[in-house]
Parts: sequence; structure tokens; C-alpha cells
Amino acid sequence: MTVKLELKNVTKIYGKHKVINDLSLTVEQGEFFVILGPSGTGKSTLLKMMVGIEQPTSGKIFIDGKDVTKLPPNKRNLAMVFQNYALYPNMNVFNNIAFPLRMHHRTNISQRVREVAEKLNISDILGKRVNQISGGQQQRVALARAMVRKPAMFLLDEPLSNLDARVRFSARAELKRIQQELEQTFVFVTHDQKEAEALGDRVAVLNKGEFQQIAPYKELYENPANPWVGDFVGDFPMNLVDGKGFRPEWASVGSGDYSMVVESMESIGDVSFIFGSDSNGEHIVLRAPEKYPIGTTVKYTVNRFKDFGNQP
Amino acid sequence: MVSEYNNPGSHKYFFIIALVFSIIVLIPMYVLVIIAFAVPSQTIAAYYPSLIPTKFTLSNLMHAFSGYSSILEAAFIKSLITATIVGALAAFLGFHASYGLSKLPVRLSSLIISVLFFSTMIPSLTIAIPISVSFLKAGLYDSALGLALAQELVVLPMTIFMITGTLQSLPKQIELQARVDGAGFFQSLYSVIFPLALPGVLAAFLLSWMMSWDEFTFAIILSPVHPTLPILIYLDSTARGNILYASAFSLIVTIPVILITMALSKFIKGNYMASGLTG
Ligand SMILES: Nc1ncnc2c1ncn2[C@@H]1O[C@H](COP(=O)(O)OP(=O)(O)OP(=O)(O)O)[C@@H](O)[C@H]1O
Ligand SMILES: [Mg+2]
Repeated sequence: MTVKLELKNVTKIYGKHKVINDLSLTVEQGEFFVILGPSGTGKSTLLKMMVGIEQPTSGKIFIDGKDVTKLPPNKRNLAMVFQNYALYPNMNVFNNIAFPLRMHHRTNISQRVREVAEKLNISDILGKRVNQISGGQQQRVALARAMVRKPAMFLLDEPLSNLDARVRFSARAELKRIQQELEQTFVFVTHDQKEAEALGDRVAVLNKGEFQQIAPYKELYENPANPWVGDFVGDFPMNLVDGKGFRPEWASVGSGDYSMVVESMESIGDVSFIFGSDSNGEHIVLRAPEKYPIGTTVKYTVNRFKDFGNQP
Repeated sequence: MVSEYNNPGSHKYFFIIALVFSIIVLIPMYVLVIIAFAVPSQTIAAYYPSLIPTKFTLSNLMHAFSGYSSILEAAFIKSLITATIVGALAAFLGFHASYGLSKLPVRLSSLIISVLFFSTMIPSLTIAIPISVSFLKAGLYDSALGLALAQELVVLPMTIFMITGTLQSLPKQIELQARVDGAGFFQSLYSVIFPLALPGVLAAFLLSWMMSWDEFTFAIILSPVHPTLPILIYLDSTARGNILYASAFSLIVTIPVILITMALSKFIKGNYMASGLTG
């Protein structure tokens, strides 16, 4: 397996603000690599440095073993889809998709555009202006424009965040299908856990400019590297008792050595969760087999713990 | 969003202001037209000129043009060439200067633009004389190009101000996207940014064109031998005292302005802001 993208000790400082702090990373060829993190942690900055529209303050970037740190974006042969798609407003859909081909002096432009449009189901809107199409269509046009010249790698910055829930779900599936079909390397930025879980071969959790953990999503969930990851990953923060963490489904409610006072209850699908605090004031979430009135004390047993050792 | 413009009351005010403004602009135009087309005995030859003349004639215009057409034509062409050079230069220089300025922090670019405007505070008359001396040496005296260069001084700050505003309002990511899609610096500048800035650039062209078209101070000092249209009219109405001819020529002056404004206005309105893009 050839190594496709490497970051070595990359740091980015804006003014006095260190946005990316000494990051190293290797993305393998054909991998769907997800960068997951809260807002403002430097996800977009990282992507911009990979594609070449921002320069790292220090550190190096390699593509296929070649140092591209100083190379302008038009020499890197990467495709990027911005969060807001950045379609060219003065061009129609066809010309938007054709633009990268024209810039690379390709031939057979029309045929290639039609091929890609076919694949993404946008053949019927090629003649439209980009402000006359829906958000979902804009997203597919942006993807088509990225795919059309067969770049070495795709960088996607929260491309699904503008879509409504239903379209987002199908767009996600479609993206995964496309990636498997192209067998291309994708780097995908998101702050949506479900996206990370559904798409990522590996997920890198970024916080305050540093990777907290890089692993498949399941591993992040079951075996977080530190309490912060345990807290951030999952529908609910990982419960913490005696410095050890556990997920709601790792405990059984009814009897046991631990107890908490119920504060609220919520159903997600056919599973109910109860929220409460224990005697130390720690918030606890448990899976509840039955209803518990607010204010009652429930006992529970933890069947499995994640031990963070002496970490903070 | 509740905007002032959605308030039906403010439509009314806008309408009244537009009406007053139109009347102020149109009355002199009207006087010009009746002088040009009414018989002189009812207008300039009358002791109490009538605002609503009853007898019309084409002979004023015929006279003005017949004995005079070659001088008029030369002045017309000179004005046309000068204004077009001024407009084109303003669009070209303005676009490039503004692109640079739009990359600076807004505070800095506004400061630089204000400094540019200082240069227009010096009266044209003060600099026209030294310019005419250097133009004599450089062979630019009495030429359309020379005059255009001098007038450019006046229009360029305004032009840069306008185009910088347009460029600053464009979403930054469009340009970055073009670079990622493989465009070099100049390719992205000309094939992506320029078309998007076109409404601003055309507005700047139009404004500079019109400023040059009736510019007076530089024209009379730098190009007195073969005058431009405004100078010719001035010489006719004052020096030669021929008001009939002057008003006929004045009509000629207004027609191209109306034509060029109509031709460009639909581009200037540009709907690129409505493209569904943010940021
Ligand atoms: N050009 C810039 N100049 C100064 N600071 C910047 C610049 N670009 C980004 N930043 C700062 O860097 C930090 C990280 O920004 P970035 O856009 O990379 O975050 P992000 O993780 O993509 O956030 P989001 O999820 O909201 O998109 C932010 O605090 C931001 O204010
Ligand atoms: Mg971002």
C-alpha cells in the first residue's frame, strides 16, 4: 500500500493563536479518512494546508513521498469541496464542472462532463444556473467538479452540513458508494458523529489543534484514548465513576453497588435512557428497561469499564 | 428580516424624492430642447421667451450642422476617443489596483483609498498648467491621449473605490476554489474574478466615461486647438455668442450618454449576489 498523504510536525499560527499544534498524520491510499472535532478546532485550517491555500507556519506536507509544502494548489492535483460548495456563480452547471478540465487543458471536455453528470444524476440540470438548483444538487455539482479530472485525492470540508436531514442521509450513502467505486483517497472533515461513524475507515479526533486519537469509530467509542474523547464521541458523554468510564449499555439497571437519582428520561427509537447524578454530582446516563419517576433512586451494576489510568 | 424598503411608507418618500430630482434634471433639458426646435422668435429672440412654444422648426439644427459639420464631427470624435480611453484605462487600472487593495485588511485599504482621494482635492486648474508644459515636451499636447491621461487623475480614485467595494463583497472561497481546480494566479484573476467583478468594473467605466465626456478644465487648457465637444459648445455660446448652435450641439452631447447608460445598465445590475453563496 503506497502512502498517499503525510503531515510531519505541522504547526499553524495565526497572529498569536496557535491553531494547529505540531500535528503528524499519514493517510493511506484508498482510505476514507475522517477528521472529527468541535467547531473552531482547526479542521478547515488543516484541510487548507493540505490543499495548498494556506501555508503551515512550520512542518512539512508530503504527497506520495514528494514534499509539496511550498507547492501552490494548482500544482498539487488534489480536489477540494468547500463547506458552501463555492460554485462559480457566473457559470452554469456544465461550465462549473468543465472548469477544472479547461484549466488542465484536457480534451473531450463535453464527454467527460456528461459522464460525471450521469454518475451523479445531474444530467438534466447541466444547463441551469447554479442559483436555480437545490442545495442537494449544488452539493452534487461541487462533487462532480471535484471528480471530473480524476484527482489524486479528495478533500471535503463538511460537504453535507448544508443539507436537510433526509437528503443528508442519502448523500452520505452516495458519497461512500462513490468513494468505493473510485477507490480514491478521501479526507473528510465533519463535526457530525454519525457521518464519521458511517463514512470513516479511520477517524481522527481533533481538539484545540491536536489529535486526541486516530482510530476506527468503533474503537473511539469503546476504547477512547482519554476522557475527553470518551466525552466527545458517542450520543452521550461517557459516564465517569471513580476515574473509570463506561457507556450506558455497559451497565445493567435494577440492582448493584452503584446508584443515582433520576432527573429526566428520554426515548430514542425503542430504547429509553435515564439521566441522573450520583452522590459525587457526576452526570450519569443509563439505558432503562422500564420507566422511572423523576426523583427516584436507581441502583445499577457496571459490567465493563474503560480504565483511563492516571490520565486527567 | 424587516427592511426599510419593505415599508410601503418609505416607497412613497422614495417616489417623491425621485420626482423632485427628475424635475431638477429635466427642466434644463427641456429648455435646451425647445431652444433647439422652436422658432427663435419665440425663444432666444423673444423679450419674454415662452416656456410652451407653438411654432417649431428644424432649421436651427440644419443651420448648426450645415456650415459647421466638419468642426462638430472632429470635436465629437475627439471627445469620444478621449472618453473611451479614460473609461477603458479606468476599468483596466482600477480593476488591478482594486484587486491588490481588496487583499489588504479593510482598514488599510480604506486608508489608501482616502489618500488617493486627497489627490483630487488639488484643483485641476493648478495642475493643468504644469501638465501642459510637460505635455508640450512629450508631444502629448492637444492630443486625445494626453487629455485622457490628465482626466484619468480625476476619475481613478473614484473608480478604485467602486471596484474595491465590489471585489470585497465577493466570496473569498470562489478564488481559492479556482486555484484548487487548477487555475494559475492570472487564470483565476481573469477567468473567475474579473467576470464576477464585471458589474463594478462596468459601472466604473461608465462613470469615468461620463466624467470625461463633459470635463472642462483640463480640456480647455490641454486641448484648445482641436477642442472637445464641451469646449466647442462653450466657445460657441460665449465667445461667438451663438446660442442656437450651442443648444443644438448640447443635444448632441447628451445622446451618447443616454445610449451608453442604457447599453450598460443591464450588466451593472448584475445578479451575482443572488447566487445562493455565502462567506
Ligand atoms: N485567516 C485566519 N486568520 C486568523 N485566524 C483564523 C484564520 N482562519 C481561521 N482562524 C482561526 O483558527 C481557528 C480554527 O479555524 P478553522 O476554520 O480551522 O476551524 P474549524 O475546525 O474548521 O471550525 P468549524 O467547524 O466551525 O468550521 C479559529 O479559532 C479561527 O478563528
Ligand atoms: Mg471549518
